Order: sequence, then structure tokens, then C-alpha cells
Amino acid sequence: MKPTDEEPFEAWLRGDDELSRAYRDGAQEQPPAGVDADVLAQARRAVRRRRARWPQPLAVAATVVLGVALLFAVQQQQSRQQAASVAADVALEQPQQPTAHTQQPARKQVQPLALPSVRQGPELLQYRALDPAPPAPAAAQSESESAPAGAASAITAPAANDAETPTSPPGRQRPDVPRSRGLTASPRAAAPMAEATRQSAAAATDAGTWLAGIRRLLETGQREAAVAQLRAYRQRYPEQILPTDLQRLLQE
Amino acid sequence: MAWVIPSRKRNVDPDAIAPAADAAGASDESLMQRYAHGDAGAFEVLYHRHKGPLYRYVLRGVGNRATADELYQDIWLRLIQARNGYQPRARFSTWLFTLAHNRVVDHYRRSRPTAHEIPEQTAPRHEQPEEQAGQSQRAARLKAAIATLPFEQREAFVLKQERGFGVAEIASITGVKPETAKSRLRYAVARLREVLHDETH
Repeated sequence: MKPTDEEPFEAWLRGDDELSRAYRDGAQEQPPAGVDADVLAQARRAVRRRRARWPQPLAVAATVVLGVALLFAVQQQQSRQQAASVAADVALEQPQQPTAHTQQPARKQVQPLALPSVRQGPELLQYRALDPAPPAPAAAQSESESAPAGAASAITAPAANDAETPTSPPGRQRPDVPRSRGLTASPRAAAPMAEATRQSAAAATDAGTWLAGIRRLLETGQREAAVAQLRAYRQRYPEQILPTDLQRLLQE
Repeated sequence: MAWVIPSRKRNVDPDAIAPAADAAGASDESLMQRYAHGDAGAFEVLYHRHKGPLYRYVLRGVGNRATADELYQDIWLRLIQARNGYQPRARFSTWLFTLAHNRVVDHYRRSRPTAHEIPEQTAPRHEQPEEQAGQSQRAARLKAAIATLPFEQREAFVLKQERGFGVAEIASITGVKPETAKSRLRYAVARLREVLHDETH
């Protein structure tokens, strides 16, 4: 079969012949409504999935950012609370301090007994340098000056105070540094909670060792020196409860 | 083969996605791009424009409604999956019917794995009596005659009748030279005209 008539074919190509009209009359089939619905639903789902792709990473990123910010805020809050706690301790000690320029030239502070070196963080050492222990009262100082040589030889600065001493030039006592300066620098001393816990444990060790040294003085008959040390101890650790026998010694 | 249509709008601003109601007068190509950028309403307009011709192309190609329904749905799903890679280098309808051609040919090859050539299509029994009742006798006979055509001739004829594709586009969709496509059309038209002529005389 080979077509020979060109004109009917060209007429069909133009779409204006009987064959084209006959086809159009019968070409009415449509896809089932269910297929239409399925295709359109698939199309919508595909777009929704595409749209849902970007909010998910964004939500994860937002969660991470918020989490980090919250963690940072909590840490800051803990640091502030710790600094406030230390400042409160300092404020309690402040009224017992004598004025710097009336006492400094003649003052000879009773040094605590030698204590084992306690590892402390740099922040704590720095804080103590700016905020030293209060000086002993005048009575304690005089007693200390009259202590026997044996007792004097036993008196050396503890490790923590060794760290403080170099920061103060000779002839100038650390109490000259205003408390407010010490507190102003306290944000640098605001260590994490773990550091605060370690500091408390070290202080308790220091106090216990100091008391043991006082008892040794009593046992060796150096009562005056023991009393002086006890008073100095009382000034340094006002929050510590003294054993009954040592309380009695102070009252005597 | 380069599919270049200079007169068509090629670039659509992705930010200028309009609601589906505004898409009724838009070109197929811009609707497809809108859909690729997330406008489901654009797809709906596009679907309703092409669903009838595409469905009849598949139905004439495979010969029964159940298979036609399945392939027709699959063609649209392939289009949905390929939306992000769509580039309006050619008419959207050319792209759509190329997808359809590939799917129908693939169906033939899978259903008859031993055949390396697309088999000649025998008369399908897709026309049910109730469907023929509302049609003219002439149209029913024409459909039956179309079903007797070889697949390639039938396909070329239906592409011209359903979407008005020219010889070059039919050649592009079916992957043959324009001369081959034109030859197929000539044979198909000559055969169908004979059927109509025989009926009227």
C-alpha cells in the first residue's frame, strides 16, 4: 500500500478533512476520576515534601542555637551566684578590718601555721591576692610578738598565702586594696561550680590542719602562742565552729 | 536534537509564582516551572490541559483501559519526579509526549521480553459495547481501523490528531527522522481514508 494522492494527506495535515473530523467525533475518552485524583494528590504531596525540606534543618539549627544560648546563660548565672556568695563572705569580714593607714605601719600580722600545699585554681589565687584575709586584732598581734622562738619558727605562711604575698609590694599591706576593687575583679575570680567546691574542701583542710598545729602548741606547753594562733584562726575562719576545749581556751 | 522555540517564554521568575487561578492563561512551560518551584495549582492547570489527549494516546497505544490507566498515571508520576530538572528548551507538550512514548515502548518491551522490535499491534478490544453505543457508527469503525494499524503508524497518527504535532515534532517524540515520521503518517492516513471510503460506499 503506497499513498499516491498528496492532496488528501496535506488536507489531513491541515486538520480540515473528513478523517480528522471523524476522529474528533469519536475521541472522547477521559481518564477515570480516581486516576485524576491520584495524580493530583501525588503532585501536591511532592510539592509539600519539597517545601518541608528546608524548615527541618532550620528547626534543628534553631534548637541548637537556643540550647547553646541557654547553657551559656545558666553557666553565667552560676558564676554570678558564686561571685555573689564570695562577696557576701568578704562583706562579713570587712567590718572587722582595721583601717589600713592606722594599723599598717606597726602591724605585724600573725601568720597562720604552716599548712600543706593545697592545689588551687588560678582564679582563686588571683581572687585572694586582691582580697586577702583580714588582719589579726591588736591583741592577737601583741601575743604573737611575745610568742616563744620555738613557736615563731613553726609559724610560716600557708601555701595559699604564699601566692598572695608577691602581689603586695614590701611595706604595703594587702588590706590597702579597697574591697570594692577586689569585688570589681571578682568576675575573673568567678570560677565554675566545681572550682568552688574544690575551694571549700581546701579551706576545710586548711582549718583542720591549723587547729591541729594549735593543739600541738598546747601539748608542748606553748599556751600563749596557742592562744594567739587560735585568735588568728578565729579571724580567718569565723564561720568554723571551734571545739569546746579551744572555745574555753579563748574565753580564758 | 535541539528543541528550541524562540517565541515561547523561557524564563520564569521563581519569585513571581502566582496562584493557580492566575495561571489559566499562562504557557505550559511557565506552569511547569511554577510547579517545579512548588506551585501545585500550576500543575493542576497543566494536568487538565493535557489529560484527555495524553490518555487517548496511551489508550490507542496499549489497547485496553486497565493498562492505559496504569501507564497514564505512571507517566504523570515520572513527570512529577522530573520536575526539578525540567528546562523549557522545547514545548512542554513535546516533552510530555516524549515521556509517554518512552513509557509505552518500555511497556511493550517488558511485556514481551523476547521481542526486540515493537510488535505490530493487532486490533485491541478496548472498545466496550456500552462505550460504542453513544458514538457514531463511523467513529466506531474508525477506531477499530486505527487499532489495526502498526504501532508506529498508529502512534504517529494519534500524535497528530490529539495534539496537532507536526512531522518534525512527531519525529522528535518518536526518535526517528522526519522522513520516517512522514512516511508513517502517509501510510496511516491512506489506510484510514480507505476504511472511511469503504464505509460510505
